[in-house]
Amino acid sequence: MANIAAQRIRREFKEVIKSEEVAKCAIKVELLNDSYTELKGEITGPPDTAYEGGTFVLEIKVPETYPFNPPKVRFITKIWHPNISSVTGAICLDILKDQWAAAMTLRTVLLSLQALLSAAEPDDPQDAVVAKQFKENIEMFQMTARHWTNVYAGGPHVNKECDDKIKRLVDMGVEEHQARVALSSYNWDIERATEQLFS
Amino acid sequence: MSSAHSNTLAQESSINDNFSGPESRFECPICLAWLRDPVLTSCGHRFCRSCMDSWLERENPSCPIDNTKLEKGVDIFPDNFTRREISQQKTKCPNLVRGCLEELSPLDVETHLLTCQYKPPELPENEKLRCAFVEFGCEDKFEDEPELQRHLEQYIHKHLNLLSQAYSKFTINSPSTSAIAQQANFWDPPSKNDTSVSSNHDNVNGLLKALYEKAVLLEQKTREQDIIIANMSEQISSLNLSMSKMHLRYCNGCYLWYFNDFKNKINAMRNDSRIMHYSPGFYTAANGYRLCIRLNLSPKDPNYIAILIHVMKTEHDNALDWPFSGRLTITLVHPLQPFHNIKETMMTRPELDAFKKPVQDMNPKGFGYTEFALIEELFSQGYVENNHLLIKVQAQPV
Repeated sequence: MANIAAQRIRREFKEVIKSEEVAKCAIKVELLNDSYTELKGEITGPPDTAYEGGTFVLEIKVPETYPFNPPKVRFITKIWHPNISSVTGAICLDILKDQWAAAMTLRTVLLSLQALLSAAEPDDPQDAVVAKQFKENIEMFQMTARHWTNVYAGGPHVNKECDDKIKRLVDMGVEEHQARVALSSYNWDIERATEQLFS
Repeated sequence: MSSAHSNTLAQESSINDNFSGPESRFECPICLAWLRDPVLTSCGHRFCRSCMDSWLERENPSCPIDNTKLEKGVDIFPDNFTRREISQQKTKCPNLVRGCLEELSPLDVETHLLTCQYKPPELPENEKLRCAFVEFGCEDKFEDEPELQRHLEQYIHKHLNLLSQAYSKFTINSPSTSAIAQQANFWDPPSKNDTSVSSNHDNVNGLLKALYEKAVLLEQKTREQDIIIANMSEQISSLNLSMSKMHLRYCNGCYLWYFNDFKNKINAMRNDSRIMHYSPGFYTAANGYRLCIRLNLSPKDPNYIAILIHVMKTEHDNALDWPFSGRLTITLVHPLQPFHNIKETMMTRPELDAFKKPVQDMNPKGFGYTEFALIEELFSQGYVENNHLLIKVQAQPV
């Protein structure tokens, strides 16, 4: 790894550790190897959103050309969000692509991702199904996102109706996550989800 | 001591802060280090020249801070004012805590560090200080004490986690580390990779092991001695038995039978006429005939006692002449006046079954007097002393 990249991550690392947000447990960064190329990030769901109370784990890969090129970031924790793939965790955020600037840091990236959770951009979607639901039925979207936060990110809001529907599909032999995806995609219409799963 | 120590720590961390974070006006936003050969953009931001040059290689470059379009050679100017200000900054070597008093330009710190004679020695991997929580899984290693102290302060949370994990494992494992398993461990050969860290522990273990081995040896010895003692006492009792029979074998045919508890035995025999009393078998010579005395009530008149002699089997019967022939003398000894002794002598009669070679342990037929003495007289004339009667038999083969 180029010297400047490692040196910068080392300095940034100190910055994040000392930052106010870490003190408030809003963001966290951990090293996964000694060469500062792979890190684990963590952000909490912003208050007053469907993600509130959840903890979302991120995979951060630092390229050799950092900071002239952005770090590669994706969600490890499954999340229901128009700009984040519900399958791969890939993120659609301009600063992680062409709008990257060398003055940005891991701290600003994590804070931007937290901001993305409170302000989705459905017109520039990563997950078309989620974006469609967001635009057409915002309440349904909120409920689904809250349910996913509960199941995958440790959020506090248990939705018994969702759990029951998933259990019905699981009892039919469908894998749990697959059942959740199908139901989420069809606005929790169990007939349509079943039809899609068994067609 | 502790206050001096915390003082060094405080110094260390303040130096570190100085070193890692230059004032923001002297910091390049790209490499986050002191501005080296600073340039100023038309939008008013400062960067290292090399950092800006790299950044401008992108398509349609813009300012990393405010996104203003930047064109190479047009919007970038050398910032000599800042360069002069930085060159006037002096900072202390981060190895101050280890004794380096060098004052340097911040730009030179890194080059200086490479050659600083006070830098912590590059210890070989196995001599580095280990984190105090190494046994709980913290693998971090340190060059010197201050580094280790800083680590311990920074990673309290991590260490607590490791401790709680270790604790949960400990409680799961504890049932299996029973006393027996521990005893078994003492027999294991000593571990070969002795480390200085655990030497103290090893010493205690070694001592325990030596003591345990000794205890086992002693236990074994005790067990062996017990067996020897048991064997010897068996031998002694069998010797005692044969000793007690010795006088029977070497009495030369003259045997004294102390017939004790006389009254009770007489009463018992009166109640049950089948009861008979036999003396132990005695020998006429060491390898001679074996005889015994029988005492019972006379079947004809229960007021008399009968005294008869029986021939008994020996292991050397085939070496003897049969039938037994000789003189037998029975004497009822008066304890006080020898002239009152009742003495009867008789010769064997070869035609009688009583003197034939015995087939059973004892010839069923005896020879003697069925009315030897009147019981009444035995009492009245003082033959019974201290409730016992003394009968002497002399047998002389002819």
